[in-house]
Amino acid sequence: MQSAADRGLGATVGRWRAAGILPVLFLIAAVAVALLPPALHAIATWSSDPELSFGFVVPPVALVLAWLRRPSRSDATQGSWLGLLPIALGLVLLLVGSRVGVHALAALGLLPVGLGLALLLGGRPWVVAVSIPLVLLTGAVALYRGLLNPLGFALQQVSATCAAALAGLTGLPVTQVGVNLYAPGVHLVVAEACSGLDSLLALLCLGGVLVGLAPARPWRRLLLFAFVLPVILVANVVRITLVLLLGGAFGTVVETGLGHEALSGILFAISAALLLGLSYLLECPPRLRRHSSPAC
Amino acid sequence: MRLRRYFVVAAAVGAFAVIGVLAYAMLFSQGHGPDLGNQVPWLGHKEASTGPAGQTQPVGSKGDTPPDGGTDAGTATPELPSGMLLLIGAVPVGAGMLLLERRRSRAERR
Repeated sequence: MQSAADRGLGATVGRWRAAGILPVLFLIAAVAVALLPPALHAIATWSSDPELSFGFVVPPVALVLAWLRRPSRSDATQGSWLGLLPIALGLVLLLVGSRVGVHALAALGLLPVGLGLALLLGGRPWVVAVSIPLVLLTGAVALYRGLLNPLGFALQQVSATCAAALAGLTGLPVTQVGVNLYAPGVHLVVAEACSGLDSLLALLCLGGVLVGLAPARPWRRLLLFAFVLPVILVANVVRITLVLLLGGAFGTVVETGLGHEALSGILFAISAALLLGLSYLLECPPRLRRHSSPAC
Repeated sequence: MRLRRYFVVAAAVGAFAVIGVLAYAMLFSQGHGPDLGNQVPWLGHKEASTGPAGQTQPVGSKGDTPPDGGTDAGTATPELPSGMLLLIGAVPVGAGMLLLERRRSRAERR
């Protein structure tokens, strides 16, 4: 004799079968299984590298962003079989990447697979809705340390030079040797971890969210996104300059301790607020409520 | 209105100039780009060196001789991890967006 729970489950599966949901669920499950290896590799990378730890926050952020950008019922269209093409392309990337051991290449397959699924199941409005969340997610999964090294080195050099100049303007005698900054009682090394790359990655993610929620022209959104780099560079230069100025008086508390971590956090919060303010000045403000013409 | 337009143009030029400067520094720190003795004159660099992992490192990392001839290794000032920074940054951005959304809906109701 069937229990009530079994009867309920059977009825639910029956309803899904009638609505054609079962094949869709199987397809999503198959794609999820295929994407599991790069996802697991990404999780291992996020755990081991503090600079890439923002990856843990990206999946929920991408989900919320996709939900906020979802098309309204009036925009709803039928899915298109053309969605199978990007899915196939993504799976080829995934297969080749896994075969040759290039995880970033395998992870790049996430974008066409996701877009293809959206096109197959929901049509063009859903492709538009999930495009930016998928770009964020793919970026987080595909990024690796080696790819960021050149940018990190450039940020180190430019930050050290600008901080030395700024501290000099305040009257502090600073000598710069490469990424070493010497001031009375202070010797700072603008090392890899001080380059501003952590802030840059975090603010790029926040910038992606702001851009994704802004119902504005593409060039305005592009400009807002381009502001992430200068904002972070300025914040990092200010941070290093403050450490140089205060380091002589307060020592390691400002250079490495809790005080420095608080300074780092406060400056990042100000940078994030500044980016939000810039979005208003550029007439590209984000909207939490669904808008009729979501970002591309 | 015109002032805002000027601001947008000036800000755009500034933003892309900063991106250009960083791209320039990236090219030189990796030893690419035009052959100028692998120097970035205004950055005060000598030449790129190769790190233990075979990666190119900018000159002047820990262990360089200080100007006074001492051997002080120096202090690095690492940032918070990007995940923590992202969560911190989400607070003012989220609060600001909620606040402005409330103001906007109040204005629409009026």
